[in-house]
Amino acid sequence: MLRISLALFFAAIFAASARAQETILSPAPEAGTEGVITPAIPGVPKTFLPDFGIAGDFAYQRSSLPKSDPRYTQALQQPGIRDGQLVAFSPIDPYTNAQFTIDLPQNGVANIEEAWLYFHKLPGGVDVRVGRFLPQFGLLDTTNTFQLSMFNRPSAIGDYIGSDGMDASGLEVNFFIPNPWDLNLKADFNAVQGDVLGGATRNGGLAFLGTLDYSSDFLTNGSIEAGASAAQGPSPFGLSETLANPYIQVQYAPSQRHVWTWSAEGMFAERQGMGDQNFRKSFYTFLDYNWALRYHAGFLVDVVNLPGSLPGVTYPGQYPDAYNSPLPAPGYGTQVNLAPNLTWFVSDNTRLRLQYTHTTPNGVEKANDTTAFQVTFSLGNLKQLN
Amino acid sequence: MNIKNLTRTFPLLAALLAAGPAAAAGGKLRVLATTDYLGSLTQTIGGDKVKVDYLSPAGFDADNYSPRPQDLFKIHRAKLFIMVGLSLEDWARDLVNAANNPGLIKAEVYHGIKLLDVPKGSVDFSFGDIHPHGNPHFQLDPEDGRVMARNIKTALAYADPANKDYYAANLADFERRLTAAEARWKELMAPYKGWAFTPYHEDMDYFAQAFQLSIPKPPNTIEEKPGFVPSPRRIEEVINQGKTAGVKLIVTEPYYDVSIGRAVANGEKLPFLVVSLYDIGLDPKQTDYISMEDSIVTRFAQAFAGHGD
Repeated sequence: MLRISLALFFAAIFAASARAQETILSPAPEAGTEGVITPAIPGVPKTFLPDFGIAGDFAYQRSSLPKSDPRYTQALQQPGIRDGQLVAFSPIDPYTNAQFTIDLPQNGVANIEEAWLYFHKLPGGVDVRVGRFLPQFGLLDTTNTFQLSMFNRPSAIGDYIGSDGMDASGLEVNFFIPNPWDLNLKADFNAVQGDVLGGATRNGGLAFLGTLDYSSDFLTNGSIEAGASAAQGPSPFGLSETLANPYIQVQYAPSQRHVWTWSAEGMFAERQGMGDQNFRKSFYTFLDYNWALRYHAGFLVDVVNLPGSLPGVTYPGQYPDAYNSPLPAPGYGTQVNLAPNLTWFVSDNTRLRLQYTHTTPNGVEKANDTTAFQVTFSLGNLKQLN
Repeated sequence: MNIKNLTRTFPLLAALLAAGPAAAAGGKLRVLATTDYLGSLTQTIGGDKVKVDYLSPAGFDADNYSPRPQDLFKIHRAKLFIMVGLSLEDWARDLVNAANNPGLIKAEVYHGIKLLDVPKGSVDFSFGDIHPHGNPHFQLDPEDGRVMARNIKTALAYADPANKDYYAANLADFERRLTAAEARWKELMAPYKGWAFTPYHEDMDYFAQAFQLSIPKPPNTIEEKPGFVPSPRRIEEVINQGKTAGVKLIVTEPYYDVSIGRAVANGEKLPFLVVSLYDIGLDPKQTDYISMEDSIVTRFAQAFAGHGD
């Protein structure tokens, strides 16, 4: 009965979406309308001329960690290119777009970060993406680290899905959820394999991600976006992991020169098969004030559960940090990162940032203070800066 | 929620979803515009046959608008999307691509406008935030208001041919009222024919042309390059060049740094005017396109007469 009801439910969504869409696919302008009416589905020129973008950041940070601390990373203490990307985007036919992104880290091998096809005019109001891409998960996952409103992805998120977020190959389906109340609801589903929950690559299994998102006008010029993402898939050591990620973002803009944005995400993780040390929870909240169009002041509070300490037991492996620790005797408990930052958009294409992060002590892990300076650039419209 | 409740809930939810969003518009044509003045013109021409919304709020500079999550849904639901064009709304491109609305009719209202400031040769980022196909800030020229209204009527008639006569009648009424108002404005501004003023940004050229005012070059605008805050050196340069050129008024908009315009005005000992090009619905005196233009022209005349802000 449940299966029949589910089938009816999704059939209704499909039917409602199909009816809500116009059957006209490509109206040709009538005489007298030339120049005013532009084609609904743009033609694709015969000459291949993709949109190109180049984006990335230079970073320099100093921390108070001694060199003997396992968390100390020499490479990060010197200025250098933290991330660089070359992006190419083009429609390949009136119904399909394609994007190709090469990631160029300073230390490491160039790799293909994205290579996908996006079918954006399928019947029923459904969009499908196939290939390698940044799957939607929470507020931040489709955003590259250098595009973020803070220097690093908050540990509350990064410790579970990687400091650069998820990057995986597979299939994405998303659609607007039609409803008679005009609620702004969108659903997104992914079946992917790759650097998702840390174990999929090793075990060859698929991870499944889903997001339900709601957005709305808020007061006069503001907006509110809330939703939840969930993921389930293989994790290291042959186990499986489930993540739940509720989120909310509220923006209030009394004028264009004064914009307040507050966001918060929680992460609840359970790794099956680890006994009573398997449940983790983390949380971050970030408040940003944008004034005079170009300047931002932000404050991040990032609260992370750290691995439990089963005496004498260490967990090998590198990822994710929420379940592994580089220390022989892992810390236990909660660690907090407090990070104010100042950002100056020199232009829409370049951005300077100064961020200070204080990390509280936790067990054997000493407190840490880090100052980071970041220069971000993005030429073209493909990787816009937040 | 147990399984029994779920199996009871899904069919009901399916039925509710099947109602679809079309009924919410009450049978009216759903039109989305990018700016407040486009929305106002569309409402004037469309009357009670259209349900109009717009993206960049009143009081916001459409050049620097950052789309919000709910804007995607507005484009998804619209039948007709009215834009200025000329790269004023580059931010709308990704929204339209992601909106999954294959039946969306897009219209750009710049067709038929005699464009100013069309760059010669190639442009790149070193020019600043330049519009590579021409200046899109033509809304303050009444003749261009007429052209926009005609293009909007064309778009409405294309999207809703059953009501094209109704739209044509509303257009004729609007043009009649605009012509009467334009005569009033020209009379108000006649004493200031040839007078020079310096705007903050390059968005007053069409207004100057319409009322035979002058924007001397140099200094042209307070900004040295479009979209970039002028340096102290540039401010001093504008003051000196303005004195040489005989500028009589400094004009800025509230979404730029008003203190910079005030500093230039004080340096040149000139009246100073703060006026927004997007205030319909925000300023109680601006309820539609004609009252918007009326308010701006009146304030210009008062400012030239020495009664600035």
